[in-house]
Amino acid sequence: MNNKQNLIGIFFAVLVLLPFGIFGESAEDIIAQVDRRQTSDSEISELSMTVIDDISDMNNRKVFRLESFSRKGEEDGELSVFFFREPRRLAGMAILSRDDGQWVYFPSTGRVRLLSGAAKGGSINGVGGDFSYEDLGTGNWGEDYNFSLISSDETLWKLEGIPSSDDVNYSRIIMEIHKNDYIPRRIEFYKGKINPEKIMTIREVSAFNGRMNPAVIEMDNPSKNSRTLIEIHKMEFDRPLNDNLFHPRQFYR
Amino acid sequence: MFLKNRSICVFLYFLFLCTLLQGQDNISLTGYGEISGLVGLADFSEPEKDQRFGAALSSTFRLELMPMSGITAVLEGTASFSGGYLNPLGRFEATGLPLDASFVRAGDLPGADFNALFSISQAWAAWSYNSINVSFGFIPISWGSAWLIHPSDRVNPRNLNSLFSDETKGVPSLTVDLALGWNFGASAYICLTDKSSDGLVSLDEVRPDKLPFGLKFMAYPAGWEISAGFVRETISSDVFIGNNWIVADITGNLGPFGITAESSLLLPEKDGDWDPVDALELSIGGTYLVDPINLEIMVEYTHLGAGSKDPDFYDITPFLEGTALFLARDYLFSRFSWSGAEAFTVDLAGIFNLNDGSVLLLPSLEWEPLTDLVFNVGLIFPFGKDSSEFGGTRPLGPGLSWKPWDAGTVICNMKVYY
Repeated sequence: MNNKQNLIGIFFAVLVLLPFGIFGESAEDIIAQVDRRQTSDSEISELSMTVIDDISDMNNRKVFRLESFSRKGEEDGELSVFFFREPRRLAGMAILSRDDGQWVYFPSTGRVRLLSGAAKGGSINGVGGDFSYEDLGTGNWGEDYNFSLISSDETLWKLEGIPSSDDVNYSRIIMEIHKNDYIPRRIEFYKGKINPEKIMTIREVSAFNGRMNPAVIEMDNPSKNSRTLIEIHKMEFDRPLNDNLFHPRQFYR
Repeated sequence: MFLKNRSICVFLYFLFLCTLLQGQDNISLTGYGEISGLVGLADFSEPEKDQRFGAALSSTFRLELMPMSGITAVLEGTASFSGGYLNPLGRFEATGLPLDASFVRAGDLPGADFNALFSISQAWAAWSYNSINVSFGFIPISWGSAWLIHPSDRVNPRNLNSLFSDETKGVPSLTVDLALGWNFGASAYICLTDKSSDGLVSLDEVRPDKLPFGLKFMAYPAGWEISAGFVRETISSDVFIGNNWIVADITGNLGPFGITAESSLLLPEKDGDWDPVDALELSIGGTYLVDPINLEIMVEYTHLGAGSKDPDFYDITPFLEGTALFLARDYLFSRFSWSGAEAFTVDLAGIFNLNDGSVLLLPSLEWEPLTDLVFNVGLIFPFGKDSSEFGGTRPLGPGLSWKPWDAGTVICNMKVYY
């Protein structure tokens, strides 16, 4: 085989293998796919959240049931509203997130309160467990962080994200993304340099209305020895949601 | 008497409805039962005084119906049995003053060992269509974002309940809420009762110039909420006493701090003297969450223009009327709230009278051992000189005096949600 034949062979091999990503995808490409597959025009879901204050005492747990509505804002950003169904103590309480504000409505008092910035970053008092208000509001990873590829094996990509926005409460994140579906399986959230503040693990991925989505999400907080589990029971996508659902006015009497 | 019998009928009808509608998809039935006990701590300055005890038992039901898209109806009622110092009538009787006419009108017997009361705290229906929401019935009207008192709330009485609970009772009213585009809104109410909330006004009292109403406009610039409006407050419609207020409320975030500023300014009457400092009610404060230890810190300054800087001029009448909770002019409210492990929440609140130096300390401990079961132990510790607001005794009239904040009190409470 002469050199000319070799070159033609290599040319065709490259042509055939290119669509299979022989050269690999960049971190930006991967995270763009993650965002694209996680994003929909709107989402309606029913979920339960189990808060375990101390992992060594797994029987001591609180369970919350919520109904959630979310959609894209007119400009960038996400609009979401959570209605608590259980426990009965919190039934009817609602949390609305839009723009930079988060409002909580208490049905027993009829009062509406705008949350402070610090409260947003912290756990929802007695409610949110290890998910902060920021974690509950679905973010746009590509906008909030600059990512670089750390490693890659047969099934997972490992990416590191450094904040590109002042609104983010973490100093960096490490994300493992499955190559089959571009759904993250593990995210480590750091505030310091060495030990992660929180570790999020996707335990189960299911099809909801024909679309793959995390169904069981676990958040561990090693420093507090606590764990919070979110189970999604029902999910619908791209249903029209009225602006009024995301207007604080809806709670006023 | 009419009002009480009607409440009983509505409450029983309500229970009947709850039984019938249980299990329907568009219906939510929630509620809670509550057992409370009160013990007065020994007052060593007055050893001859009787010890104070109180007990109360109550059950509250809340029924929410959504019969069709855009229509919501809510009915919330409470059956309560109270005695001793947890019986509001007994507490009032302890002052030695004649009972308020409204109690007699409601058919309650003062001095009874146990006071049984059926009350409807909310009964309203709302209709929503696009950007407008209209509600009518017994609606809780809860204006204001401050913590200690709400200067812009000119509907609800200010009393001990409003200090220990943020819950507001429904008042017969019509409210309209409007979304004016994405970043603006308007809210208005008109009430068919005065601030004493002693029942519906009689026919000859329903004159437009007597009815309390409020109108405010809201704006939501990124992460903030700003509102301003006008409020007509009717203290009493029997002998008409009305006030006009301009109200404003701002809440938002400055970095990690949550900021709240709420105010109301009493407008001058035609021929009266007017001093803006006397006419102003203002609450301004901030909150901060110490994230690593989940400690929330809250500090708020409150100015009450109608109050006095001099303890000799403290006026106890508005306190007894339920139109004022405090007697002085300037206060500092602080609160430290720590939600720790094992379902405990520790709270330490303090109200500091900046004019006479007296203090009301309000520590409490909450424990939720099981879902929907909550225990609470709270203490009320007043400190101050004899002439001060929280430590002193106030003269009421010839031979009559009253110590509004008696020696320390312990209140225990158990709540079960169902």
